[in-house]
Amino acid sequence: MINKVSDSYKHHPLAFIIGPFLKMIEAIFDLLIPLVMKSVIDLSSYGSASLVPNVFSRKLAEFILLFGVWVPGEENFALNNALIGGVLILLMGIVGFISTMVTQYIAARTAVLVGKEVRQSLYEKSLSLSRIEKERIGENRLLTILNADSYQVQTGVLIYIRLIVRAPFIILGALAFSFVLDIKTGFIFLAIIPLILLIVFFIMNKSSKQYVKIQSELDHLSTKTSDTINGSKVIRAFNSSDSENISYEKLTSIYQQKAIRVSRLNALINPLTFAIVSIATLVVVLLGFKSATTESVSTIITEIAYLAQIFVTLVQLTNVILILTKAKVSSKRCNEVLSIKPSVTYDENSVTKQINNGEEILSFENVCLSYVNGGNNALDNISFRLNKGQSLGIIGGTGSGKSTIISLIERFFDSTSGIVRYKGENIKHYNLKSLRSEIGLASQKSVLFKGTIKSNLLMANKLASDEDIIDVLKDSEAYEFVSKYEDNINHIVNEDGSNYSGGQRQRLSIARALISHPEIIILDDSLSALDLLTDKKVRDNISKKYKGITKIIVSQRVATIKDCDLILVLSGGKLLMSGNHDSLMKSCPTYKEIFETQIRKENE
Amino acid sequence: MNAKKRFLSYILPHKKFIVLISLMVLIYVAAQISQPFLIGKALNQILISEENKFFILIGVCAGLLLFGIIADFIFEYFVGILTQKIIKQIRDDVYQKINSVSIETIHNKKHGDLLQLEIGDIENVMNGLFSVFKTLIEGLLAIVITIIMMFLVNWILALLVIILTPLSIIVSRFIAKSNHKYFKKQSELQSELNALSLETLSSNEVIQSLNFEDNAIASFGLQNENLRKEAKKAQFAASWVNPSTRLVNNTIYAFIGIAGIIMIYSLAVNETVTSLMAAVDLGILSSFLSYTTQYTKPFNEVSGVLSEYETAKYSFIRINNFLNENDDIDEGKNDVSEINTIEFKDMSFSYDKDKKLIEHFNQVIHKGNKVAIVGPTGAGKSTLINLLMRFYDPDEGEILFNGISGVTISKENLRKNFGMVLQETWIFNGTILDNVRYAKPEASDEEVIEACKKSHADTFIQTLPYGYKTVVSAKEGLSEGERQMLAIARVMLLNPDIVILDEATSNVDTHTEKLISDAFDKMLLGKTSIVIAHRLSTIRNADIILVLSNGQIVEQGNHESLMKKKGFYYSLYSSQFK
Repeated sequence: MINKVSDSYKHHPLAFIIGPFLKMIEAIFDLLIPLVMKSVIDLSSYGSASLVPNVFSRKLAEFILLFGVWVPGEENFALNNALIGGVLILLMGIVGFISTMVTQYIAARTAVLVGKEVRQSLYEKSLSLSRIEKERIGENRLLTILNADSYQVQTGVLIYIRLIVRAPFIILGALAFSFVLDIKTGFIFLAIIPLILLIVFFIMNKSSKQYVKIQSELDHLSTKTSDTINGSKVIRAFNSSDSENISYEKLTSIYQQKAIRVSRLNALINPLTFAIVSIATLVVVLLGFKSATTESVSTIITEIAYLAQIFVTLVQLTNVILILTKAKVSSKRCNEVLSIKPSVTYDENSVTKQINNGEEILSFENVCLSYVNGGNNALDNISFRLNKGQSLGIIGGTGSGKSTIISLIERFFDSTSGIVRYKGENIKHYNLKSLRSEIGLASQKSVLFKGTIKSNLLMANKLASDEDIIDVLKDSEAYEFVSKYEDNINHIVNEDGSNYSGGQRQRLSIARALISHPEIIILDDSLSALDLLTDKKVRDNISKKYKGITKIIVSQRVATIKDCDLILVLSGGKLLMSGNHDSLMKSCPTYKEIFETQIRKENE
Repeated sequence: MNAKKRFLSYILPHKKFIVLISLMVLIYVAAQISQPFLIGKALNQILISEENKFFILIGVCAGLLLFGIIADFIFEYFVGILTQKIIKQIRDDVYQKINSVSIETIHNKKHGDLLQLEIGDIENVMNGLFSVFKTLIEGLLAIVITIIMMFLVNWILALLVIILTPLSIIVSRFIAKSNHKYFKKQSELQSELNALSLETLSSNEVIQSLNFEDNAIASFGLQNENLRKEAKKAQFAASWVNPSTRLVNNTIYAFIGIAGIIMIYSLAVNETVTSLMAAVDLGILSSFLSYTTQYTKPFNEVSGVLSEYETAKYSFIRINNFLNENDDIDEGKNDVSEINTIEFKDMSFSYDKDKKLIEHFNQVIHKGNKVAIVGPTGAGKSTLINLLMRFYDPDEGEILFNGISGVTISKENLRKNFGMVLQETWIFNGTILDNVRYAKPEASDEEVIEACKKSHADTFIQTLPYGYKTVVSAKEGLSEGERQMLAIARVMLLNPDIVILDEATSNVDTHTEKLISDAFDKMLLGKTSIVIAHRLSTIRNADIILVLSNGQIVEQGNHESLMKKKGFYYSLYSSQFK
């Protein structure tokens, strides 16, 4: 795993040198080709290399003559030179092509390797983050970084190796050659290069800012559509389809306006650059008119060729710079994730322990937790002790801190102050893998993963047989509906378990928590969607069949937790009172009130 | 409607626009491509020192360019406008379709697919439209006009270029084809990887608690490696475009150069040959070399666009299929208000024709009745609500409202009598005020706040950063219990004749639930209510309790009579004391 994107670059040092170098060969040839053509023309019109006026063209002409006579005969002098020149140009083209394709291959290979490494490291890091760390970055942002920014980094590498040398080299080279050929035209080129760059940059910069705005409009459309799909029943129930349609049309109108504004801006790039290059061409021609010789005409031909090349390459260069800028921003965002040091860490000297029934398995000593440094405490000074084989019930309203206690037991994050002890050890020093395998958790959201019922249960215990699976499904009262499927435990599970009802998901996730035969089973509000009868059956099954298991049950229903050995009554992150049902009925007014509204009244 | 017809129905209203765009692009391309020709002619005037002709030619060239530049701007800008106009129309149509198809249609489609249709597919069509209008038309025109110009300049060199043309076409077609294939594969793998990371990262605590990180990383790695392999192929395939274009260009450049020079210098000696072969001079050679450097560009652009066109076509077909879905059938014309009786008459219904659910159900509900539906999970309790609201219609039998059969009452007229709070609450992206006001758009702020007070949502709303103006969304900002309180506030605001509560307070804590239930008691005086609840305490005083199991009404009566029966209800009820 890498800690910053640039570490991945360092794994491919040669690619970043050889790639651009090979590309340079093609660039040099590309620059030489118009010159070779010019020399051939000059040689033919002047009849001898020594008469060619321009030094550079003369040298090239002499070089062509070195190849000797291919077509004999004085009258075939031009034909001979043209053939040699033509073959030279073709050869340069082919050699340039081959060396470029090697670079392209190196670029593609290196880019995807870097992309893969960055993505993999991002994923590993993200998976290890705690909820607090995840919320600080933002879950959607995290996914964007993983999926989109890593791709931008990859594209950056690709373009860097391919074009970082070529584009500036061609532009500067063409500029240099034009000075060699004719100083005045050289100055024209010098003037138009920054001009075109400026225009293209200015417009692209502006339009990319507007693209961001369009993207956010598109997000609005997407949110609205998503809301509408989710709320299809409510929208129909309130008879508000028409007003929804009207408000959506308003959104699409805004989107349309902004999109048209961008296309107006983009529509400027082509005509403007086209205008500049055309004007430059005309000026070159007008300047050439003053000298009015054959020499000047052949120079003009060459200069126009360079102008075309500069134009194409400039557009390319602005693209390169834009892509590299984006990649730079993306790699910063990647680094932000990669550089996080997870708060929950594995301790090298961690321990694992076995304890007997009746010994203390879990204790909280003055535990506080605040999600934000110096912020309000989500848990305030919580203390309790639980022995192996006992059951713990936690009750309290929304936001009372019930699930936070569970997160501390599972070490999704660590307490801000105070000590959580597991089997007598500070939980931070207990082997994290063992801790989590000794605890079975059926969480509030009862998350299922795409696959089958079987694959979801195997996640908790790879070695479980089909019989084991059916057993725990029976214990969690899930087999009642699973057995109705033709494919039984191989029945498919869609993303998010969307093909199961809330109650079914809860029972499946309880089965998953049970299948590893944990020492502690935590049911974090995971019975809420079950009717009371099924709720009771599940709890009874666990007590009967998993002797000695420690149960931790979080619920808003008194009936679900009232039989527990120890009940914690929480409110606003504080422990109001703890004890068993009878003692709480006597001493805890809040508990008594909850009980009475839920049960006593019905018993009258 | 088939896709072609549908497409034309979007395009045809903009006929004039399209004519104008075509005219502009013609001017632009003609101006651009005549430039090397005119400059070549002008260069010849330098050689023979014809000053006037030279300046005339340069003047014509400059004038044409000016027209060209303006035409180019209008062309590109108008293509943008046209594309956006068409896209808005399609997008609005799809959205309206979402609102007009039956609940069943939406239920059978995946949420993501529908969203993809409205966002991704339409973006594809947009890109396709833009490219076709812009690049395809421009590119094809450029090729045709270039060929014409070359023939005007010198037919022999032009023929030479034509002979070399297949080279450009073959190369660019080959590249575009393999690109399309690899990129399609790459984007498939990319989206698989996205789905995988979304699923695991959004529940990484579960992964952690199962000690499943290593497996998750390994399966991500496997998928990631697949993506890398395909991405390499795709990126390498794409990188052939520019070098091959340059190679083809250079080849044509060399051939034309050689041929041109030979024609000028070697053959010029022989006058008969020269007149036969059409004269070549330096000016002509210059124009020709300019043409050849530009010649292959449109080929690449056109073949590049072809794959975008394919993608757009595929997306448009999907959109068209959705637009062809039947609208929700509503043959009902009757109106009904002040409902005094609701009667289920020998009614049967099931979602899946192979699995029976509710069969031969009979029950009369009178105005002012409090009806409770209880039973284990999956017993079909919510189904009764779906039928009452006409989200679905009965397979057999009927539901009579004031003696009028439900299917003959228009859905809109029927639903206006109801207010409901569903198990899965719906909160949309907007302020708290907007969300509650949804039930009654004309309600004042005071009325909304009053309703929130009744549902006891006011307490938590006051603690939000911007109070009632706080923006909330489907996923963020509120706990499940708080969302339920808002949904209840909606019904309190609407104050309908019949109230439906489907597990309306399942996530609200007990204390608040008690307060809400008192508020409901007040509001429901003399009104009909239908309540589904797990916590039996909330429904003890119901007039009618329907006990459902496996879609069947196994018991019905009030609390006392059902308790005496010592049947299913009794066991459900007493389970909470054991």
